[in-house]
Amino acid sequence: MFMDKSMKPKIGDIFVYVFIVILVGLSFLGLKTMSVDKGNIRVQIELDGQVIDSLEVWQDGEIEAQEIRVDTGEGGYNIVKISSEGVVVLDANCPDRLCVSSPTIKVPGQSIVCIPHKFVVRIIGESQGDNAVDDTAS
Amino acid sequence: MTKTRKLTLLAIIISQALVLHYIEGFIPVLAPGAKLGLANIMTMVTLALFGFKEAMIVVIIRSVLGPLLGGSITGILYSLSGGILSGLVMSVLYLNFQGYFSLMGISTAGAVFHNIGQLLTASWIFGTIGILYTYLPILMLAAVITGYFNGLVTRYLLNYLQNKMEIKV
Amino acid sequence: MRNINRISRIFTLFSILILILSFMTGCISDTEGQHDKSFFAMDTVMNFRVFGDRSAKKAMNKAVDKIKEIEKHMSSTYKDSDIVKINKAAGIEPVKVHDDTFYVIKKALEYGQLSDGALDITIRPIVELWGITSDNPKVPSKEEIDERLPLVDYRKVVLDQDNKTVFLEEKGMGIDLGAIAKGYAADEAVRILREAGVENALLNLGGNVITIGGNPDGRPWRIGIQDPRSQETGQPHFAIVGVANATVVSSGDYERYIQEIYEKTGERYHHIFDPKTGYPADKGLMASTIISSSSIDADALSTILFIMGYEEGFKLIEKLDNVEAIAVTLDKEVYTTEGLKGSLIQSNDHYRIMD
Repeated sequence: MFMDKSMKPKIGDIFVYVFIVILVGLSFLGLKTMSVDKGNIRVQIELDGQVIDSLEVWQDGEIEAQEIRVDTGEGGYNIVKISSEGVVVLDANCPDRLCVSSPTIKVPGQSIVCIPHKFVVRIIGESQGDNAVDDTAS
Repeated sequence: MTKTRKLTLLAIIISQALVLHYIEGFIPVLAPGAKLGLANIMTMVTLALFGFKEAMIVVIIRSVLGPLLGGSITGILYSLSGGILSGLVMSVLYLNFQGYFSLMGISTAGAVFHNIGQLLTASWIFGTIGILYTYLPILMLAAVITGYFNGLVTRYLLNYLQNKMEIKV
Repeated sequence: MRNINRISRIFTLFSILILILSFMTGCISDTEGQHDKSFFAMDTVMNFRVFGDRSAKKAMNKAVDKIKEIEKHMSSTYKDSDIVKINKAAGIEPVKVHDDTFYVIKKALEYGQLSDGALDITIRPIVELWGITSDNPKVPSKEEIDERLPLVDYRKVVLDQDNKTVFLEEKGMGIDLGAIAKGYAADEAVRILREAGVENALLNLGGNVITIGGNPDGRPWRIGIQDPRSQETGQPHFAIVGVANATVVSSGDYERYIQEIYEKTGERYHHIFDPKTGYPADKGLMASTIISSSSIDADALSTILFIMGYEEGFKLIEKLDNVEAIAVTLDKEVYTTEGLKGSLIQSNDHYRIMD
């Protein structure tokens, strides 16, 4: 009868413990993916080397999608879209449209360039030090 | 067994589950809303004596009455989620996979899912999943110990019922 | 054979369980109790960080919606806004507006009076003349400015409290709520959050920093004050203040100015116009900061302080309750009101904090 043998460890028990170990492992992974890259980043738009716009965005949470049209002079334009997925150039009227086919950027240091229009959109990470602040009134 | 006997037994089982629920309230809490799940001993016993339907009824009644008697309404949510999830898992394991698991194994699985259910509820209430990741490891440790303990107690309870009270398992 | 069968059955069972669990966890997100949202409104980026449970997150979204609603009423560009309607009917007839617009205009006129015209929302004709927010900013001639200056007079705005109408007496007049709308929006957002029981939050509305409570770790929020010459010094801020339940708003000549002229001659033609002269305010400050429990006050007063200069401005501010101020002169000297003395942490040695 079941009861008589029920105290002996059986094969299924091993699965239970393995399962627990897997869960704990997943938790640590989950925790790691959340604490990396906390903080504020800036999306900076440059024309001909000059910074014409710099938007501070808190990347931890939801970022409502927004399209920004940048007029690059002489009728040229690039349309930048910022959202939780990252930054991407949606459209542009430059001859090669390489900027439009560039992949979405998400991480500080990455940038998308449109050479004909001398247009750059880049992501900058804010690194602080001893004078760390929660935010800046500007 | 007769209907009356069954009814009486179930009532006693539920009351024992409530007592266990009350007692484990005194044990310091490791995570928001998390309890050890000692009351699952009774869930196991019901499973062994009767079956799935009866076991789930015991779980639901104890999950609602327990926190209510303790004065907490949100507690009902935690107990229900933990209890139902662990009840389902234990039922499936005990009734369908009997040969592959020992009582300790089933109880441990029950304790594990009891805690998972509670953590998921806490995460949902707080709107952030960080709670699950943060508290799961320590609760898993507690679940292993509780599970083993529960299994032991269940075994001896069932033994007692079978031998001394002539209730067939 | 049978053993393998059993093992594989158990294995499948557990795999399915893990799969189900991972799907469930996908439905929830965010770090513990912290809800962040970045969005665009009032021509700028706004960042919200609210602490609490689901109801706090709901309140945050409600606050965001409220801000967008306010923008629709008070925008100078959105075609159905109250402001656009008022400006179109200048010199013609009164225009009925939403309650919140009426409240903000009324408050702005009170500030006009308090500051003896330093804050004047009828500044729009001058703003348009200089074209600072357009693609072609230019320095207008004195004649052009003198022509429009009479149109800048907050006393020529007629309010009807009972009918909630606003009337601009002369054709050509126009109002611009830019100096005060964000402050109002922030106060509304805070009201919504507090009503939902939120105890800790950090909001950034286009540079205006608003706090509820302090940092959840127990300390006050550390807020940096923008370095007005950060492009030269390379530093983001010149001082840090610890605040809780307060708003920090900065205004300065560094926000918007005519780039081309600055590059050629070093002269800054910035966007904070003195309503009395029609030229950018030049009372010696490069930046002004207000710390107050009310955002609409902070917003209005930071403009007032900048335009009045720090001597006259501080005189006015010291008379008010719950308002502290910081002024940075063109010589990079930093003055503060009494209540802040000793509370500023200097973070940058290009500036001198004066006693």
